[in-house]
Amino acid sequence: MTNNIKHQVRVAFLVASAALCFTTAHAAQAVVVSAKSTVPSLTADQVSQLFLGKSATLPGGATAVLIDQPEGSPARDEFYTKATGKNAAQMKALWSRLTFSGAAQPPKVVAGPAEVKKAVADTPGAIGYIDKGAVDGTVKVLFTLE
Amino acid sequence: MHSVSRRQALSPRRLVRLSTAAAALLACQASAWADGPQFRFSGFGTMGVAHSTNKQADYTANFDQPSGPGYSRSWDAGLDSKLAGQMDVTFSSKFSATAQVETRRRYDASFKPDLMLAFGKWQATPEVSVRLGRLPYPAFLISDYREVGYSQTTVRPPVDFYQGVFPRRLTGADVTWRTSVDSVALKAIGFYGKELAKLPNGIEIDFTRIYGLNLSADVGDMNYRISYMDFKFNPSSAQLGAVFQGVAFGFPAGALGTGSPAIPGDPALANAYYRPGMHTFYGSLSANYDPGDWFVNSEVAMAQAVSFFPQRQFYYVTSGVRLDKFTPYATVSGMLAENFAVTGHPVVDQILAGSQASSQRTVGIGLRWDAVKNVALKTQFDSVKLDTGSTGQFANVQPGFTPGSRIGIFSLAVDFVF
Repeated sequence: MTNNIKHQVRVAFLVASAALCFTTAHAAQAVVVSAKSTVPSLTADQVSQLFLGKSATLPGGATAVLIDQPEGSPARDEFYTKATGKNAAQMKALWSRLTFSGAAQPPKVVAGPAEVKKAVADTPGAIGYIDKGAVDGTVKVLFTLE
Repeated sequence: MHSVSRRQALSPRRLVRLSTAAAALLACQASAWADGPQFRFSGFGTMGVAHSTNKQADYTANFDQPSGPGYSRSWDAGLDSKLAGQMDVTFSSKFSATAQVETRRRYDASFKPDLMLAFGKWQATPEVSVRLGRLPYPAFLISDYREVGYSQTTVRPPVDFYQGVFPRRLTGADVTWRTSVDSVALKAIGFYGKELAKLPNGIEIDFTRIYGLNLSADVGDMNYRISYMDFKFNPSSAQLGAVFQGVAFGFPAGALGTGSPAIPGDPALANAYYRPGMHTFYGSLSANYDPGDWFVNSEVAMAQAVSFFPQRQFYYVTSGVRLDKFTPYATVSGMLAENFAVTGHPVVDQILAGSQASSQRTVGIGLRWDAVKNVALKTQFDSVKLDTGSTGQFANVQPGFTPGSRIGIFSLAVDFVF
């Protein structure tokens, strides 16, 4: 009897963790640069200011080249919600303001995490975001949005 | 006062033609990744209609609009409607160029496309950039993106504040310096240039020198801004010129109507209110908070003019709550013109009285709906209250207009970007 209850609790726990795993599949986004970058790390405020177009330089003085994932992709929505508190429409409004006043151009968009890794490896100053699980030796994580 | 022919209003057929043009532009949108110059085409537009409860004057959103809803039209599709396309060419990480063409109701009531912006940009260092050409300039918070409806929560920038902000661009240069200190992002923009601006009725204003400095700081979700702008201008109004010529050299008996007495000339008095290189300077402060779920924008400004324009104060506060795709918002704004001292000269006093009778305050409520990607629908109601004796910032004021009225403005708009 006791074993049975223990078993049921264990099953319930497994089901719950599976559900949690599923819903948080895109939960952690890693902010990445080239593995060769000398930038040690970023704060949450610095990540927010870079991707809101409020600052354009990385610590150390290099020009930041923002890399975005496609519009409507879960990674992109997840990243901006966590990094800036803003949804896709708010971000579009913000970049419209910067673009049409001639202040800045929106980030370059690449197809997915593999292309983000390639872009940051190839481009000096490039900075992007990918699922934490996609991080490998070609990139360096400067901040993680849990 | 004049009225504008209905022929030149933005008809449904014109709107269809504009949207077809927009669709064609959308189809050829392209962005290149290859080496060599990279081209990026994008654009924005608004299709809007507005209605005024007062038939004796026109509501306008910009100083150079010849007409609006009210006297000229009951429902006006030309107050807010516009379409613009922009080409950005990036030559290297240091050099780029931008050109923007816009069609909207112009000073001459036509919708002829206008080369709104055309400039080259040099990113001298990661922190310093220089632009040269036909530029937008950040006189105030919304100045350099005021045309872009999609980028704003409200249908148009608060009219009490922005209607008189003029010219809309300058030909010259600006320098932007950006840096970060810990978690504070700082930006300074200095601009210098000139502009020949056209107004309705054939009037031109030659802004012979415009310069200003704009400092802003972003601290977390908070933004602070302080700015100063200074310009000199010469209006080309033959009528005003002739009147002040009269003030300077005297009016003979009967010149101002049958039986009017002779008025001796007073060059110093004429020069005090009307002369080459009339001077205006503005100071402004702005504070904005936007954590995402809600926001508040606020701005105050002061204009001091050495001319027949009075000293003025401007202010507005806009706040809204973002509930998924819906953003209900409210705005309180005002423009308060100070009274001139009485000069004792009947003609000058009449001109100054007319110029200072422009104070108005507005309370507005509205709703923005981000219906689909890149498209926002907005509806807004503004209640404009003119101060006692004031005709506000309305155009084409008719003899039947009652100064000091309260006027309702109802607006619907679809804003899009591509």
